Amino acid sequence: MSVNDEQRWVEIGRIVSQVQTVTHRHHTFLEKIGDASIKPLTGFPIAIVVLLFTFQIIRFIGEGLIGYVFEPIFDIYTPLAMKLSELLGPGFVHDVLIGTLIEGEIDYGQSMGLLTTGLFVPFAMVLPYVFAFYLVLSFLEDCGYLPRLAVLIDSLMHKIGLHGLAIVSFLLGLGCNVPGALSTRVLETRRQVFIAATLMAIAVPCMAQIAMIVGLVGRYGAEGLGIVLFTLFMVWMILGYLLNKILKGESPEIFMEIPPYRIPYWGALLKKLWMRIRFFLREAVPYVLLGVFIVNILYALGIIEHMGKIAAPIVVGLLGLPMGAVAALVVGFLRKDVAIGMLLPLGLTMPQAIVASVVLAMYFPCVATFATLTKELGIVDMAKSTVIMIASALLVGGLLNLIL
Amino acid sequence: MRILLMGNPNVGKSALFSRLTGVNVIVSNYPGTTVEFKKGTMRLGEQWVEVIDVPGAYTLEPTTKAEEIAIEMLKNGDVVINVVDATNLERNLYLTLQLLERKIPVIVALNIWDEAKHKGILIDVERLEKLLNTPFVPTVAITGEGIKELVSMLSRLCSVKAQTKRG
Repeated sequence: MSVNDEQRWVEIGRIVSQVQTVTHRHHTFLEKIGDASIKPLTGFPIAIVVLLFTFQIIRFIGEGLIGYVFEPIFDIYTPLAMKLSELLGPGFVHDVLIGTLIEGEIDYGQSMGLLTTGLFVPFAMVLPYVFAFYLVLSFLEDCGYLPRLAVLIDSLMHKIGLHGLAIVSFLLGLGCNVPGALSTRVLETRRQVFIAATLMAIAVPCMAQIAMIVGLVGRYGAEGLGIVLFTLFMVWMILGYLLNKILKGESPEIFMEIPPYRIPYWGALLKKLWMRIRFFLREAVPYVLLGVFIVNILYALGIIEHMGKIAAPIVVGLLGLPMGAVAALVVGFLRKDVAIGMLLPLGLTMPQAIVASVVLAMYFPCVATFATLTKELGIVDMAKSTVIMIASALLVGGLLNLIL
Repeated sequence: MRILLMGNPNVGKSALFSRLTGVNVIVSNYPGTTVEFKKGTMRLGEQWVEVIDVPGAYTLEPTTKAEEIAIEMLKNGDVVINVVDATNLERNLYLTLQLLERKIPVIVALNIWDEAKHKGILIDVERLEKLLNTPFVPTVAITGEGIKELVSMLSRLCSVKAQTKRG
């Protein structure tokens, strides 16, 4: 090449000195917050406040939507579904579409029919939280907080073989692991991508999963939920630390520009929110329905029972879960929210619900995430990653079973 | 005809892409939002042209997978709209110079122009055009300011390009 680096920068310096003038002015308010959110002394308290606030808003909006919008809608829908139930009469079609009636009534959590649980789970249990999460995330993205969080958390992320920018991937992964996994492309080395993708698949539950864990474990109060999330966080840290020690290769330093704080442009933000909701509806809802459908078929054919017997030593012996949980673990390969939904009727004790939630979160990603990860990592690395997933899930599940 | 939107990370390529094509893409205020290329079409006078939103790159020597994708795309482009963050002119011009060395027609969109003004950064656009011998258009992709000028500049360049191709 005729031109090198040095010459280009000299050229740029010459051009800029001729065309650009910068006039003096004072720091704006946004710039002052900008500085404060990166300096450790003020940055960490700000980060904690932001995260707590985020958590509260998601809960508030999610619960509000469920209680005041979606459950009332399903209350209107119930008589219609009951009519259909009467029309169909007992039989296979009834079992698939409506499911089992609990004390003569449709129970959206437990009936497991396509038109009952299959609709209730994605729309009334998961969608409200997905909406709330993406509303808050989109705001954080557009105002420019995320890169600052990345800088702040950089040294912690180096302990798990990554750098600060990876926190953005994990946050996206909390919404849905698929875009989260794709976003690891901004990391520089294969080693970083492997660590980030593996940790995401194992220890970062997506919003659909979290919403259902709230439904399952939340019944016993906030304590159980706290244990599940704390366990996953510890797994994230410890596994990351180990991977960083074991894997060869380097993890480069963070190299990122910090954009200025900007007041979000609401039109663009709402459009983005809508795109993400549409993605959820298009990608997730069919899988949920497929999941419910497959469960019904497998039950009808007696396959679940058979698998239960084979998997009993692990599920019952090691994890201390009832036989019925096997079916949930099978469906978990397809969709985690349906799988956790299947645990609802089992009458689990709190420790069992915690073990089941943690194991379901860790042992394998859902089908969509698995396909994305395989494309990103390649088959060989994905196989390695899968071994890590299953081994760590059984280890952590077994330990929890012993402790709780 | 294929038009590439290229530029450093977080300069507003995706926002501009949405403006030009009407295709919705995720736009955020942090570098690395776009990691895959995205295709759309727009009308330029009589013809429909393909527009591609390319992941951000600082240089044409790749360091990440997103940058590799960007450079791969460049091989199949006819015209580049180089989106530049007007508040960071110096850093952004590095890629501009590299693109100009490639002999591919380049229009530069001086994006985030509103913020540059607020920051008290004044840029002499005419002088810049003369020095680099390529068109520069101030834009604000998020609100749509300057998009019309950009498109008319683009259609002029594309019709010239189409004629030279035929000739």
